[in-house]
Order: sequence, then structure tokens, then C-alpha cells
Amino acid sequence: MNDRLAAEQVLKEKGFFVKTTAGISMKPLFRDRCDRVVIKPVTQRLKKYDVPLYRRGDELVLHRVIEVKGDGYVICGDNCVNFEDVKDEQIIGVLSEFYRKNKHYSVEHRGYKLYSRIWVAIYPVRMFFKRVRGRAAKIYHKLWRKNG
Amino acid sequence: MKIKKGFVKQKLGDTTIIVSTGELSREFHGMIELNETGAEIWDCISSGMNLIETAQKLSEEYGIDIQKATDDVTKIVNKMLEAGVFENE
Repeated sequence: MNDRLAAEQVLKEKGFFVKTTAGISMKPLFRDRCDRVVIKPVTQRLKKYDVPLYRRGDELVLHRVIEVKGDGYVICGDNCVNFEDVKDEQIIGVLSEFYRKNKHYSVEHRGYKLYSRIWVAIYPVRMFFKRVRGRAAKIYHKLWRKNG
Repeated sequence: MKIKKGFVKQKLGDTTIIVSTGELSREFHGMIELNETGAEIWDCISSGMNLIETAQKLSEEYGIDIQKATDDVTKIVNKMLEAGVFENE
């Protein structure tokens, strides 16, 4: 059984699913293989700033809702620049609690709510700096290759 | 008997869950749900107690017969073994 099917089965049987986050797409909130998330089944349509666990092929992805649309959502990782269209039927659960640096947070935590709103609001600024940094890195590598 | 580095125990309401972190999360993807006794046994083994010491502690704490405590410990430890929780010392 792959991870996706296992997660879906556990969610259905237990009503929750706990997993250590992997990857850097939700940094700075979740660090690679350190923090744990508690996923609960979806009982209603998601709202902006919710963090759903959804299917992308056989992969499970945990990213944030940026915009709610008629039959789906625009979703983006906190450390990503590209948006993704995700349909309701791809969603298998939603973040309800997490453990970061061994401290427990609910998604209702005021600090977390403030973080998610600010992080989404400054998306254009983050994207700008990411692109500038990317271009600067390319120029640096070109110069380094020429001189090296 | 030693629990692999990377397993963490956490409370989730009335339930205790064991999940893997760090490098261990590459090979262990699931979660282990423990009842109250299971969580107690986990704590004992984590602190370095062997099976006999764990059974003795359980017997004293819950006021149960040592044989019953040993059976409980063996049953839960066997499930942990199947789940691949332990490493060789």
C-alpha cells in the first residue's frame, strides 16, 4: 500500500492522521523531517489560509489555500512561487494541529493565524526577492565559470 | 532493547501516537497508536528499562499480578517489534 492510500485509510478509520513533514515547500512553517502535522477529515469547503493534504497523482502534498474557487482552490506552498489548481475531490484532509520544535499549536492559535495571513499577503514581495536571488545566483555562476 | 532514534511520542487528545522524524521518517511512514498501558511501556523502555523491570513497574503502578503485567508487556513489545521500532544495541 502506498503512502497516499495508507493516509486515506487511517483518516477514514481513526478520524485523524499524524505525519512528519518532508520537503521544504512549506518552510518556514514546517522544516524537512522535523515537524509533525495532525490532519483531520474535511467536513466543509476549505477557506483561504487553510492547509489541505491533497493528492497529486500518487503523491501527498500539504500546501496552503490562497484562493477559493467554484469547484476547487488555488494552492501554493509557503516556500513556493508557483500556484496550483486543486479540485475538491483531490483533498483528503486538512491541517488541524501541528508540533513545531516540540511545541503544540492548533490552527486556531493567534500567532499561527497572524503568520498565515501575513505570509500570504507578502507573497508578491517574497516572489520578487526569490526571483532576484535566482537571477543573482545565475550571474554569479556565469562569472565564476568564466573566471574559474 | 533500544528504541530507534527518531521516534517521538505525542499526545493527541486521549490518544498517544508514535511517529518517526528525521532520517527515520524516510523508512517508517506510518504512525503507532498506543493505549495508556502501551504509552507507559514506551516510557519505561525509552528510559532504558528492560522487560522485567517494565513489568514490575506496571505491576506496582496498576496493582496487577506480575504475570499479567509480563503478558501485557510481552504483547505490546511484540507489536512494537513487528512495527520495527527497536534497533540492536
